[in-house]
Formats: sequence, C-alpha cells, structure tokens
Amino acid sequence: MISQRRANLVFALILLVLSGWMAVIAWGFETPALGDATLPTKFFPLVLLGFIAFCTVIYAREYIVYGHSGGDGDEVLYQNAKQAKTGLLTLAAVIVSYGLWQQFGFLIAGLFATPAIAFAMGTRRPSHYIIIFIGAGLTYLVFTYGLGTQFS
Amino acid sequence: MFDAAAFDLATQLLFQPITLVMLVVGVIIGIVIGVLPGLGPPVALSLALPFTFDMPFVPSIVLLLSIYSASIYGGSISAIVAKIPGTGAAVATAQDGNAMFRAGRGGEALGLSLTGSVIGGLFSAFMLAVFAPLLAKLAAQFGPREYLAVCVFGLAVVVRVAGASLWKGLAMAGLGLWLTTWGIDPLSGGERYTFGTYQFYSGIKLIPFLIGIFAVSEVFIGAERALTKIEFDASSLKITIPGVKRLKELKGAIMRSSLVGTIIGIIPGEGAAVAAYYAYAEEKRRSDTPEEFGKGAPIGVLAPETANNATVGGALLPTMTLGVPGTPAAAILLGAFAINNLTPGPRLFEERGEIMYAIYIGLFLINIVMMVIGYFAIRFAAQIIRVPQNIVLPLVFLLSVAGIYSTFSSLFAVGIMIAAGVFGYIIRKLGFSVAPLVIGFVLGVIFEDGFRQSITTSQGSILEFFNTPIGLSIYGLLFLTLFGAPIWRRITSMMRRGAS
Repeated sequence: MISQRRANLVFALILLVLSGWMAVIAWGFETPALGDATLPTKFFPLVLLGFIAFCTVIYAREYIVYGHSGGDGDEVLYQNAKQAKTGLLTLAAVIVSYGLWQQFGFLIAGLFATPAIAFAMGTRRPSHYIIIFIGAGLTYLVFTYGLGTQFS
Repeated sequence: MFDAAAFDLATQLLFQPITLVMLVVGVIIGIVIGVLPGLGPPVALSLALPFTFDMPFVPSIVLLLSIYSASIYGGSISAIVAKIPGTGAAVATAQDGNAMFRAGRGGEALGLSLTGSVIGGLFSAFMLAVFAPLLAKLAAQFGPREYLAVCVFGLAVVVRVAGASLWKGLAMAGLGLWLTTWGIDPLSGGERYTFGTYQFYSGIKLIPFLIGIFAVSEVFIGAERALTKIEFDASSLKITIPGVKRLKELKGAIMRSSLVGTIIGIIPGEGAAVAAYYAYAEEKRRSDTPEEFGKGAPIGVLAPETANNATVGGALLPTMTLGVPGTPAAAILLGAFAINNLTPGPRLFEERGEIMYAIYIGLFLINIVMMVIGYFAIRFAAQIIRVPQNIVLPLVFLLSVAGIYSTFSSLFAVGIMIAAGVFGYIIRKLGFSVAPLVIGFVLGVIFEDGFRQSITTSQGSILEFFNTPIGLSIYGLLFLTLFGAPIWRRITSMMRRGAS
C-alpha cells in the first residue's frame, strides 16, 4: 500500500512548495529601526528555508535515482488496507473531536473522541467501551475537581 | 564548590511529604507506562507534565525524573515476559530476557534487569553530581560563539544517529530550527509568521509541540499496530535479586555498561536505545561465549538494562548545565523548568543551588525506591501488558488534550498540539526520525541568538566563530565524534597492511 518512495516524493514536493511559500512570506518581514545591527529579521528564516529545501532536493533525488533514501526502498506506508483505514480513521476522529470542542465544548468532544478512537481501532467488545467511558469520566473529574481546570 | 546551605535546603525540600509522595507515584506511573508497549519515556513525561503546572519545582521535577527513570526500567518487564519491548530502550533486552523467561529463569532475568537498572541509574546520578558543577563552571565562560558551537554539536550528532537517511535527518533538524523563528523576533522585535493572530506572538509553545509530537502521534501509530492477545506464564513472575557473589562476577559488565550509558546519554540523540545496543554489542564482543547471546545469556539482559538507565544522569548533564537536552525525554524536562520560569545553565547553579542538589539526591532516592517498588510490584506490573491498546490509546489522547488545556487554558494550544501530532504521525510514517526535529526545536532559539550575536560581535566574519578555545574544542570534538571512528579504522587497517 503506497511505497515509501512515492509517499516521500509527494512529501518532498509539498515541503518544497511550502518552503517557497514561507520564503515569500519571510521576504516581507521588516526589521524595526532599533533592531539588530547586522542581520535583518528575515535572515534566519530565509537561510533555514533554503537549507530545508536543499536537503529536501537531495533526499528526493536519492528516491528518484536510487529508489530509496536510507534503505527504505522495499518498505510501504501501510502494510494493508485495514492498517491504513485504522490510522486514517483515528486521525479523522481526533480532528473532528477538536472541531466539536470548538463548537460544543470539552465534554462533547471527549465523549466523542475516546469511543471514536476505540472504534477506529476495531474495538467491538462493549466492556472495552465501558472501561473507556469510566476512564474518560475519571480524567474529567481529576482535571475539573483535582486540578481546578475550567473546561470551555 | 560544595554549598552546605543549598544542600541542607535541598534535603528539606526533598523530604517534604508532597515530594516523597510524588517520588513514589512517579516510580509507579513510570513502571506502568514503561510496561505498556509503545509508550516510552517521552510519552510518559508528556502526559505527566501538565500535572506539574501548579506544583512547586522540586516535587514536580522529582515526579518527572521518577517517571523518566522508571519508564525506562518498565520497558524491560514486557520485553522479558512477553518479548514485546515496552520502550525502544528495551529492544536489546527482549531476545535474551525472553529466552531466559521461557527457559524457567524469568526470576533471574527480571532480577538482573532491575538490579542493572538501579545500579546504572545510581552510577549516572553520581557522575552527574560530580561533573555537573564542573561543566557549569566551564559553561559560565560561554558566550554566543560557544553556545552556537554547542548547538551545532548537538544537532550534528542527533542527525548522525537518528534514522538511516542523513538528508532526511538534516531536513527535520532545519524544520525544527525554522519553527522556532515564528513569533516576535527576540533581538529586533520584528514580527515573523504571526499570521495576523496574537496567539503566535510568543511563537509555537514548546510543551504543546512536544506532547503532540510524542504522545498524539503515538496514538495514531499505536492505533495501526494490531496487537494480538498477550499470554505468558504468570507463575514465573518471581523476581530473584542477584547476590553479592553474583554481582562481583558481573562487576566488569556493570561498570562498562554504566559508563557507556552515561557517556551516550550526554551525547544528544536517542540515548537509551543506542546505549542499550552499544552495551549489549560490547559485552557480546568481550564474551568468551558470544554464541550464547540471543539464547538467554544473563549479561544480554544486564548490560542493556544497566546502560539504558545510566543515560538518565548522562542526559541531564548537558540539559542542566547548558540547556541542551541529551535525549528527547530530557527535552521535555526542559518544559518543567520553563513552567517554573527557570532557565537551565550556569546561573541556575549559582542562584538556585538547592534545585541542583535536589536533583542529584532525588535521582539517588528514585533508584532506591525503584528497587523496592520494582521488587514487590513485578506481578502486578507484568499484568499491565495485558491491557489492550484500544483502551489505553483513547485515554492517552484524552489525557493529552485535557493536560494541555489545563496548562494553557487555551484551545489554540490544544490545536497546536493536535497539529504537531498529525505532523509527527506523517513524518514517522514516512521514515523520518523525530529526534532531529525535536532537538532542533529545543535548540532553535539558542542557535539563532548565538549565530546573530556572534556575527554582530565578529563584525560579519564567520572565521571569528572559531576564534575561541572552548568553541574550537567543541568543533574538534564534533569532528572526532563524526569522523573519529572511520579515521581510526582506516589508520589501523593501513597499519595492519603495512605490518603484513
């Protein structure tokens, strides 16, 4: 399921585009009049973005020319479709829970996130969900009453 | 120089009930998290860090150090009992430890692992107590050029040891450094990557970033890891502590592994795992019966377990004296200093000596308590391996978000943590090592300040960067670290050829 070579080349492309975009933003950074005498504010971000882009080009070249970078030529991103589904569903559950927190608060987000992650992992036993809910409830109680956190 | 008043104050702070409770709680939590596969010291420390927010510094650092030490040890329990290393540092232990367990010598393996861990931890605590004040004295003479040299050393070594691809490691180190340029430029006051929101004025916060990279990304990675039900013979769970006679037989391996662990801990990188492998390989090389390694050799358990716990004190040496973390876990400990508005470095030794003494003495106490708890709690600890990942991981995520919100009272910080977690997941899937990214992020501010101040004082001359004896020594040491072994190999092979 998706070779490391292909995935890394796509990532390298994204990294290069983002480096270019961030360099354009950095170009507009202004050094206040009382600022550093020798180096402008934009110097360091630009140098680092150049460095990142340089390294990215080199490792992308390794994938193109040799098919691997550091011996991962035979490796794949996901061993099978089930593994990919599990990882991506967990990712989705986490991101959705953050959105739910923004809209409806921590309690709803927590009530969604914990069983959703467990479901994404393929949990079918009701007893596991009960334990997770108890754990989530205890976490809420510890933070709210133990540490005095006021969740929004 | 020994400061009796600071020492006295440190003992008073350490023997307060809250500190002692944190010590015991930390050891228990550390062992539990260490036993659980996938959740190593960085995750354990990430989850505990928010709980220290309202605590005085000494109990909080004692809690974190207990978790750090005990989670490295805890990893060996699952490695020995189920051949599933709880942490990367226990991978080297799994082969021989599990072979001994299956051969009915589980008690001996568990005893060697516990004893080795405690001795390694005590040795490195002693080395820390001896060398930290000396290094701090030296660090007091450091200026921007020397700090820049230390950062270059740290980054170069991390990139060298982390991952198989040098260029991928360098790209991540660069990215880690670049992310620290976000926010208000500390030297000029100019805005950089604030994206029109005041939330970014102080840049990307260290703690949400680290918790995201370690704990949240582990939730995604761990979710994919389909673990089958773990079964083992619980009747073998009786620990046998080696006697004095046995320890005398093993003293050479113990001393060598302790030293290896401490030294590798000092060098920035993935300390505990590398130290464990190195100590294992060294003892195998020295052994008269190397063929027994991997099939249940007691030294195959003792050496890596001694070395990996010895990295704790070693990693704290550059962390406390220079603010440069020796391991990713030590980078999280810097978060505890930041929460309490403390900056590690020579000034902390002068102004808050009691904190340093509390850390030295605390480490000794932690290892002694770990010996006692490890001995009595082994049966319970081993049962934790059976807790399914699909129960643990959702709760790890919930603890992470609740912890960050509790610390920062900001949903934005939670967003940063989740974004860092998603990014950590992506790069780990793509075969990047997170260590250069994390060390780059931790060192970024010191690196930029060092570079810009150096260039200002040297009036633009890069050559002036090397015109400092301490800086030049650090660059020399870097050269030896990176190229010493190949050069030495080349010289010895040439000498051998010349002789023949």
